[in-house]
Amino acid sequence: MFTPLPDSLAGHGVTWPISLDLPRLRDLVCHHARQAGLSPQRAGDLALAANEAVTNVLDHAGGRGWVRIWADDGFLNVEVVDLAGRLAPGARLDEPPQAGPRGYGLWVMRSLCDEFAITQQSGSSQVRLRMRRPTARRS
Amino acid sequence: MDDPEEMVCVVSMSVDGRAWIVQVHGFMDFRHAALLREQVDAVLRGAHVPVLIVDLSTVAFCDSSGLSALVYALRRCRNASTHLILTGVRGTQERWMTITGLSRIFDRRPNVTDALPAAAG
Repeated sequence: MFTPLPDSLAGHGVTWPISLDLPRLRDLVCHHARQAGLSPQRAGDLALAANEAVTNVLDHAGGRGWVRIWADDGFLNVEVVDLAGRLAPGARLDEPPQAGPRGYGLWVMRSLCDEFAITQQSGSSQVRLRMRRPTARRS
Repeated sequence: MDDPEEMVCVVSMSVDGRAWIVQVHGFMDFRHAALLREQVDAVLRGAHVPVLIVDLSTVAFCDSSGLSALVYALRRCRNASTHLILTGVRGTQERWMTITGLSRIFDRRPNVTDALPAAAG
């Protein structure tokens, strides 16, 4: 079962349904991150964060959702949409958790990415991970 | 290991019998991390274990569930008065330890050979 993208999201970037093939996910994110000019370290960090976001969906939400990745002028963006909508905004993210697998996941997404946001709308939830692209300013 | 994304734990005991060694191979992620918890439980269930070495040198990838399993092992060892030593921490495990600050909490050695003298003490 694959739910089509909302019109507002279709049309740019690369989108694929969430699957158990996490190594491929990490490879894809890394590839796009490098293409967008991110360093190997930051590309790896983004892949690790995306891995956690997708794991959340697989582990807690039954695995229905999609990943979208696209670059704009300032940022490389990764969006992970969970169609079960379990991930709630406002989870405590300001300090590392004592234990619990998913707690570390949220913490690491927040720590590794330049911007991290969870939003919920009409039963689905969405994690947005953003990495600032190096500016190619010339004097 | 038919599945290339499998995780395998190999459990052994040091020659002097003071240390148990759990070697983790492959993918320490949300599908497999429970296996490490089970191995730790199994080792600590019997007679007192002075030292438990968890060797991560052949782990291909570690996610937050893998990290959580290591924290579980640390808690279990503290309750059992067992000294937990991690060896071969590198790659994503190393990254996790740095981000979360857990590198300060775990006793880490480069490899099992370096960890065994601590076990003999």
